[in-house]
Amino acid sequence: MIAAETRELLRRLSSGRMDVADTGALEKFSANVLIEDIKNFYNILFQERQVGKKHEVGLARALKVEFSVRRHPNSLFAPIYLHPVLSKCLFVSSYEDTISEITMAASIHVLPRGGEAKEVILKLGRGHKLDRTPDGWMIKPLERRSVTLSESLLSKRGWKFGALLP
Amino acid sequence: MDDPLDFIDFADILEHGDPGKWKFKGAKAGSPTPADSPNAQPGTMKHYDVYEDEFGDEIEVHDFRHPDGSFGDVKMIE
Repeated sequence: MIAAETRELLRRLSSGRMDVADTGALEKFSANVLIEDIKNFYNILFQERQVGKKHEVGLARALKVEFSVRRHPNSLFAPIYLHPVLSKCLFVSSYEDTISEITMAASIHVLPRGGEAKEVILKLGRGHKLDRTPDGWMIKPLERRSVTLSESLLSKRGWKFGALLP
Repeated sequence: MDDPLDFIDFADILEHGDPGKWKFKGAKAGSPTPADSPNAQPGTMKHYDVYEDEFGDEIEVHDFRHPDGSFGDVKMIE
């Protein structure tokens, strides 16, 4: 029933053009209902976690695959690697069924760092984060950055590595 | 007692790196302070802590700590 309203909210969030009136709907939605609604059109669930009273989900609309070529110093052969790219991503967090934040990102590139450390490089695309604060809802643009995170941190944070398979 | 950094939103981790590698710089002056919102449970305290993220940027973590030891609305502020 809330699908149209949810879609409009997400459309405004993706453009970064929201005002206080737009967030009124968030005040009346149950977080669980909103997340279930969003899952209808963001159907790749790549992260989910419950910690204390907080529930987090990471969703994407599509999974793409990009390739890269890595030359090895002692070989003329250049192997090709495939990397998952989560496209049109959404993070939603809530405390006790009250929405706490919604973040939209155009993409997240996932690249193994290589070596023994079992680390993953995550490259965040452009996007916006909408946060509920004691002073009201605040929106901010995301910085396009790369972070290197351990597989153990990602597992602890509820990443579903199976969702990254084509 | 839980660690407030376990509650950091994943989007903030994508911008600021692993919270386990953030450097604690201390509590802000006046922190903690009783939560004064009309909806706050009696005894809830609001904490404001300063950290340096993986990129050397100074950030703040604001959180509500309830009398039962649980956390509410942990927020990272740039």
